[in-house]
Amino acid sequence: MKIKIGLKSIDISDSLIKGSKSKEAFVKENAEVIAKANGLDVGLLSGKLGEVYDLLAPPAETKEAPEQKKKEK
Amino acid sequence: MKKILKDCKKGGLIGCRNRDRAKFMGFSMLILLIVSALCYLTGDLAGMFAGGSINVAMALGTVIADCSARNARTGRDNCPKKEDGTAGLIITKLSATYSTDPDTFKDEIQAHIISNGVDKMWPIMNIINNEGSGGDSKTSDVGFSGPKPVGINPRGVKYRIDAGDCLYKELMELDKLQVRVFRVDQEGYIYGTAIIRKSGGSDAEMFRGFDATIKITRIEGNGNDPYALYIDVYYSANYEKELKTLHGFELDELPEGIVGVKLAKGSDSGKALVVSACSGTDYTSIFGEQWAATMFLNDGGQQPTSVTYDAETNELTFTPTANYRVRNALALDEGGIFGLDGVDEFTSI
Repeated sequence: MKIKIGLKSIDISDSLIKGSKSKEAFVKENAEVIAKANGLDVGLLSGKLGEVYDLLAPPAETKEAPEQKKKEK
Repeated sequence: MKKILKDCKKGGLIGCRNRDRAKFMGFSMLILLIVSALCYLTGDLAGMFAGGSINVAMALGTVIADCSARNARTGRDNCPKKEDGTAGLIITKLSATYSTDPDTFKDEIQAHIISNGVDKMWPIMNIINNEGSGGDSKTSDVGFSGPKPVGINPRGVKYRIDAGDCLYKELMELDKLQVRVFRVDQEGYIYGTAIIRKSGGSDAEMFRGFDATIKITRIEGNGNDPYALYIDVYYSANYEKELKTLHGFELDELPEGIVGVKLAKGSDSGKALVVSACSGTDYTSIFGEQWAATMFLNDGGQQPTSVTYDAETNELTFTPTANYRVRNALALDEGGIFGLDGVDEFTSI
């Protein structure tokens, strides 16, 4: 998934997004490292990463579904 | 007569009287003549000499030589296509076959170029000269009459390629191999041969290159002549037969071969360029924003977290830093980059 910031085009590994535990964890783990490597503002990149996560990550309902089923049982 | 036979059979001919012996001999000859005539009429010479058994050996086996099916329609079309000078070659493996349908062939050609399978194609374009030998009529003087045609002399063509030592090094991987060769002429027509193959229980017409062995040579420049890179194609003994089933059609565009690329260190830690493995030509900016994390792997087989293309510096930035390589042509093609193929070489980024 690509993020365009100025003249930089950042491609984030889709599998990384899909494999992360939560949006917050994904942003926290990657924003600082990617921003530092590319000379970008961490806050700006964090917002963009959050948007990308929302687009690609499986819906929260799906992740919670197995837990809900357990509770129902 | 019956008595004679009886008497003579008893004691053989020795015991017969002269008159009876003569009668017996005459009768025997008559029987032999009748049997011979019957054998002759049935065409069974073996039976004649074997004294009776019919239809043995002589009717077995056929050597089919039916010229009646030949029908030459010698009229001329309004716009006969004549194969022009060769502008490019497409080398394939010996067993590779393709669709004879022009549209299907053209649709699949890019996939075949980046493939590593049995149908892989190696296009070699920029051929600037052809020097052929052989292919002319071959005659024999053996026998009682004058020379008779017995086929064609072996056909060999020396194709000169407008390229340098990097292509030479790549082509050496194909040196002295028996392969199949499609020719692409200067008008953009591809030429090969059609064959019938079983496909799914029925006969299917397939397209393939000419059977040939190739040799790669280079001659360095001197004061008078420039550098020369050649691919010598020696067509096989099947060539004349392959020409009888010649198949060709126009390509929309000439296919290009792929270039081996690797990563080169950039201006700082985490930064890199994609360059050709042989000459170091920079391909980073040519594909710019198309570069993606899926196109690289680290030495643990993992993709980078992110890959950034910076249009200002024309460099790629990788996170995290590690040893990376460019993936193969298939992976690059999936991301929209055609014509490059990552070589198996890691670079510390």
